[in-house]
Amino acid sequence: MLEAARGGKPWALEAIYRDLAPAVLGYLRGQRAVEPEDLTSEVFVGVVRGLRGFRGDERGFRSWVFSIAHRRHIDERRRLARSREDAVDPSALAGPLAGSAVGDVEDEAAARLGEGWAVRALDVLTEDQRSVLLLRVLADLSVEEVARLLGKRPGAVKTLQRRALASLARHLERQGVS
Amino acid sequence: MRPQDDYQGEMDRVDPRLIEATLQGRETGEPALDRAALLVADLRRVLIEETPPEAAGHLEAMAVAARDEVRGSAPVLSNRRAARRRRLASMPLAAALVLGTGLAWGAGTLPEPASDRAEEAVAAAQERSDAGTEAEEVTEVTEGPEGANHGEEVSAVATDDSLQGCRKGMAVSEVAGSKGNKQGPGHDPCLKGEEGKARGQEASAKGQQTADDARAKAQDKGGGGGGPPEGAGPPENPGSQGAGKGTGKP
Repeated sequence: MLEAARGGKPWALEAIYRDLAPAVLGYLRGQRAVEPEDLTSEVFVGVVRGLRGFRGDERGFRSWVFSIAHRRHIDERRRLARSREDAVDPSALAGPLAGSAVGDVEDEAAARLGEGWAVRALDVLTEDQRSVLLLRVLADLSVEEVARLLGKRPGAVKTLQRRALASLARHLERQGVS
Repeated sequence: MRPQDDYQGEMDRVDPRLIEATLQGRETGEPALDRAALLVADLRRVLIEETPPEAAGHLEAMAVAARDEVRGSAPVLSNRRAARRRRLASMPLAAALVLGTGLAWGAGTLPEPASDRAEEAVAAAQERSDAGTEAEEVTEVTEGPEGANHGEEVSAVATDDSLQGCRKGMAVSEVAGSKGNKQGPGHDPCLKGEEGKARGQEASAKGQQTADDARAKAQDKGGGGGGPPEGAGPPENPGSQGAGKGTGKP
């Protein structure tokens, strides 16, 4: 299928998309991307453009696609951070809505998700813990694959996932979930 | 010890297989892990849905990207096609060179320097053709920088003593001219001269025969045996006989 996709065969591209798009979109939504659908589209356009240079099996392909998704997410965060810095109007700082811009973006993303308690619970995690947990749970990547993707050692990934689970368990206990 | 530390310590002691089971959303019998497993299962349910409704738009974007990728490699294909076209276009020129100078050279009718020149020209044409250059550039090969030695090559052919007469003239003409046989590969002007010479010899033999016959007839009739036979000798000039008479003034 990868060979067919490299040749631009529409059926192969569609098969890849239908196989991976839900998980990619879920990963970006779990990361609280502001425009997860647009990012997903960008990810798969990037996949098509990078297909010729990709070498590896289908398992490696899955990891590669999520590495693109992860980079797109990081890019979006940086872009948003810059736009927040650029968009601050001095007159607005004294107004009643001052400081609400940052919260608006995340609230908007949360509202769009329409998710329940599980997605909100991810907010208790650090960025690394969240990335590791989502890549393991949604992308279905192994510890080694996640380690390569994030540029960490496998031991560090194992530690991050243990701590992520511990944090979630504690949070849920506080929430009265049994 | 704070509760957070308790959890971290507890998780650090958990069997890695239970951690993996929790990440799969399966219950393990450990209350803390089971709560986490419940959350993991809910994350999967909420976040991984069926193919999103935007799929059509995304697929379209992918198709556009795929077309761009193909188009990105298109110039290579079109260049190859153009090169092939140029090769095809330059082949008649190379063929003309082969037929023009090459036939003469192949038949051994050109002396060595001329043959070398023809060989070089054809090789250069083929080389340019393989390199995918324009047909016009192939034409330039015959008139370009190599043309600087043209005079020397013509001189070399002209001073070559291996050929004489018409053949030598032809060889010099081949090199000095357009390096092609403009009159066609089957044409050989030297052959024309030789045919003329043969025809002249034949006519001369016929005339001799006619004179001998006339002489024999005159002898048979017995009269004026000393006069030249008809058609054998040069005709008498009547004017020369009366020149003295005619030129005197009355």
